[in-house]
Amino acid sequence: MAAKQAYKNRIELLQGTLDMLILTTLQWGPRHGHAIGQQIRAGSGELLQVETGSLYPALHRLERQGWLASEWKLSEKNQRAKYYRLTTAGKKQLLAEESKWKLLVRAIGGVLKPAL
Amino acid sequence: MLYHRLKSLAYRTLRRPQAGRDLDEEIRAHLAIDTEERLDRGEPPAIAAQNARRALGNELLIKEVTREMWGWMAMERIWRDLFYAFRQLKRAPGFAAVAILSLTLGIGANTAIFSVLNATLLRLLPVPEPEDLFVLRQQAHTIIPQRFSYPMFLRLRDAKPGASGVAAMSRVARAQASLEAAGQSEIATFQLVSGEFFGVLGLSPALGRLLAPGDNEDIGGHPVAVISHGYWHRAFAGSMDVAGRKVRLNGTLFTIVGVAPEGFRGLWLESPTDVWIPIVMQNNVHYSQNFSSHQDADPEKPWPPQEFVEWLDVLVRVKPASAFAVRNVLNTAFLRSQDNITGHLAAGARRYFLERSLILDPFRRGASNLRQRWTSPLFAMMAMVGLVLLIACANAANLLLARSEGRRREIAVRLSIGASRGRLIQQLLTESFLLVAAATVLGLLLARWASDALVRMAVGSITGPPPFTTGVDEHVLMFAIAISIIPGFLFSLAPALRATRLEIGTAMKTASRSAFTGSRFSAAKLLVAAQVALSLLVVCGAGLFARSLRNLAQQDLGFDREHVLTVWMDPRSAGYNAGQLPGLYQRLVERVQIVPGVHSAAVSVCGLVVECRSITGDVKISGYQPAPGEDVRIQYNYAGPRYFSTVGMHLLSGRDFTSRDSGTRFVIVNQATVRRYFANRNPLGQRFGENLESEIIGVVQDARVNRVREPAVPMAYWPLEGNLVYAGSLEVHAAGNPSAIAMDVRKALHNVAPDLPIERITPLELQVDQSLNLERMGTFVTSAFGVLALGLACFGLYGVMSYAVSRRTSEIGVRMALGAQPANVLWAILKEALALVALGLGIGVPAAILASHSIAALLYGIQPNDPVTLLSTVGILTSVAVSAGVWPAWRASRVNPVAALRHE
Repeated sequence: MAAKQAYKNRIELLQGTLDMLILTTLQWGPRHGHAIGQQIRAGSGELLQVETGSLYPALHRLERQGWLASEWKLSEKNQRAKYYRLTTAGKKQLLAEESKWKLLVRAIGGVLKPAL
Repeated sequence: MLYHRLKSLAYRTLRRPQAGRDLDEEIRAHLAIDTEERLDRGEPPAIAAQNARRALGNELLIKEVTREMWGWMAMERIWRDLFYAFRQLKRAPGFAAVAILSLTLGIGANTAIFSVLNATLLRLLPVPEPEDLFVLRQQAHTIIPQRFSYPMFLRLRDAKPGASGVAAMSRVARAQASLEAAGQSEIATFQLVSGEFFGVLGLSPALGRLLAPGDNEDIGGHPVAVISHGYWHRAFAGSMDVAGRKVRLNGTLFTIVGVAPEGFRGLWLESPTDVWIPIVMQNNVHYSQNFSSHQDADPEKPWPPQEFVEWLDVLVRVKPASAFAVRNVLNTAFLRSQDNITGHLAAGARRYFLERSLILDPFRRGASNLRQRWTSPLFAMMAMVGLVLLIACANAANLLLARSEGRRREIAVRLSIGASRGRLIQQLLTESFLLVAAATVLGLLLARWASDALVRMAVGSITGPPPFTTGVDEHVLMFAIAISIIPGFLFSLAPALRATRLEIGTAMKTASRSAFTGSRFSAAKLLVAAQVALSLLVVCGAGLFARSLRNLAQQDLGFDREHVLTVWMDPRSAGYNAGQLPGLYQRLVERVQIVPGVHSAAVSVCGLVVECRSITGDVKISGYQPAPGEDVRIQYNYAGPRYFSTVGMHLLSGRDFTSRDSGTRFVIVNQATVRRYFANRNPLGQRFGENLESEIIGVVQDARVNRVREPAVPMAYWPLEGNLVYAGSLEVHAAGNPSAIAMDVRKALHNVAPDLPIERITPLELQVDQSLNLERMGTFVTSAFGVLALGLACFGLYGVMSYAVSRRTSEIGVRMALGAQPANVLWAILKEALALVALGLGIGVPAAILASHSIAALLYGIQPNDPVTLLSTVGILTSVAVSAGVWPAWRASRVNPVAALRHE
């Protein structure tokens, strides 16, 4: 039973975080899927590697939830690609996620500090 | 739920190619961009594309996961589950068959009873906006509500009440009908209607035209008819040139002008109408039933112009919102007319006409004589059959529990390799859903067949078509789905939840046989105890009904039912006039009396046990002072000479009529009259009648002339002689078996009066029997439910006990190895079964005592908490349950200790 619980937590944490990272990336303007992946990797100093297998399902899910909108455009290199951008609901969601994240970081930090 | 899924499926299916292409293209674009960046970074072209693809990972998996996000995978999953469930059930055909069978019986029986209930109590008339139809009734304090005369209908119609239509109609009557070409006559039903009738109903013809106001003007002058769709096919084979053809009804030729729309079978549920003819034709077809006549009326003359023959029902079409206003206008017009036409009557007689008021009764379901009598029996049966469904559901749940128990390992394996619990429950539910769906379909088929059979049984026309069809309409369908899906879901959810709630480790480590937690067993035991309790209720109810029926069948009726043959005849519709009647009666009786085997014969107006009630009100009785406002009412009949000895009613005092008695000079009353009106006085020689015109010359014993259930009411008999009345019944007292002489009697009657319609010749015993058809049907149905309930409960008990034995095989083996005798083992197991039965009875007996009071009104000659019935039910249940427990117990006692121990 205990093992199962832990497994579930890990999934949720990752999923929620990926959603937040995608939303953050998109607040500077529309991007296509590849660019989003690259930017997260670069922004994290190559620490976070976003699997394509997680990225696209996440993008589609966020779009279904109404936080992202998409359209097909030509890239700077003249390649047709699907560009995602934040919707108003998406911006609100990003703010909510950010504050939740900061809270979490502060809370965990508070717990860890005495041990340091 | 299903609807949304279907909608989602449709949406996804339509969008699918588009969305799929979109995703493919997105992945392609990703690859292209990645490849290009790799080239920019200086990777060799040959391996850049390969690397990009490798970095992307499993392209198919990405697509599938993404697609699942869209949701249409859910639908495919359901199909897969259905297919999987089907395969699972195919692997356990015994389980599937038993589960489906018990659910089918439960659902089928419920749906069948509901179909009958739906057809008799719920179904609306097949006309546009049936809610706007009302029928006009009269209310009065003392008298029986009356019908309307034709002139009164005309005045009501012309009062312009603000209704969208007012029409008049007679009751549905039977007639000798023959087609112009074929001389052979058969019975057809007809109804006399005013020209507004079809307009008020809002019907349009299937062929030709319907009757219009112009068809109903001159007395006897409009021999036109509209026939029903059914009659058109039956008598004219659906011929398109039927308009203009002719049909003869009771001797008068009618020209058919049109065919009523299909599906419209008239307004009387149990008497579908074949032919509609104008009211003005009343005398031409000798219609004479359900009427009241007074003082100035002459029922021999055509009725339509007469003020004092009240014989019509008035239909009103009005929006329910304005019904009250319309009623007020009609009521005012009615009372003003009553006042006008009774101006010449004495004050006492006028009261009868003036103390009435009108009400509008909803008519959206049409009329029916059955409805009132059937309502409470139907609801009682519905309740009992509901219990049967519960038992069946408990059975199915038990089977599911046992089955999921057998699949513990499979489920544990699937959970441990990552299947989610929700997903597994979904799959288990799909399996139950498949079972329930199959049972629902089969149950509907069963109900379709059974419900018509029930109606036939209840009205006693075993061979002919049922008087009305029950059919599967949207109500029945909804009902069947509701009673199958909801309990089906509930009863399969619990086993599914239980099956998937287990510790993976323990379940996998231990052998499935001994991985017994105990909870499944107590759940199953509780279900079986509940089944026993429920079946006790059903069996007890069936027992009460069966004993009521026996009491009814053995009730002393006050006449000799074993030796009397009763002949239904109809001299009126054959066109005999009043002057010919005495001669006809004499010839009939004299001719029948010389038939070998006939003891005596006599005619009367009303037959026995046919609910032919002629009642007169406002009777005066010498020496009896009615209470204030009391209406002295008495049922009467006219009897020919030797009537009482023929039907076996004993004359208790005084004398019988002789051939010299005629008119209303002398009257014979029954004991009930004496008890009611002559407390302790000698009635002989007392006077009686509207004007004390009759002298009581005899007292005859009480007889149940109306219904077996109905105790004798005060009755008066006048001699047929000298009263111009149409006799409807000829009673023949046979020396031996009455059915043996039926053919000879028919021949004799045909001999004397070849044109006299003989509707039927029945032994009185059979007639009494048939009057109990509804009770017989109820008893049959509830007994069948009882057997079904017993069988299901028995099966449940057997299943649980078998399981218990198989679970304890090793334990029993140990005990026997240690020296336990087979008898001890047998008793130990049997004791367990008996404990379950005792628990069930402990709940069931008090419940039965409480519940049986709700059917008290349907019982006869027996108390609802009758101890004999209750005790014998308990006895039956116990013995049946014990026999269900004996086999597993016996098997347990035969366990081979060595084999059982090696088994582990």
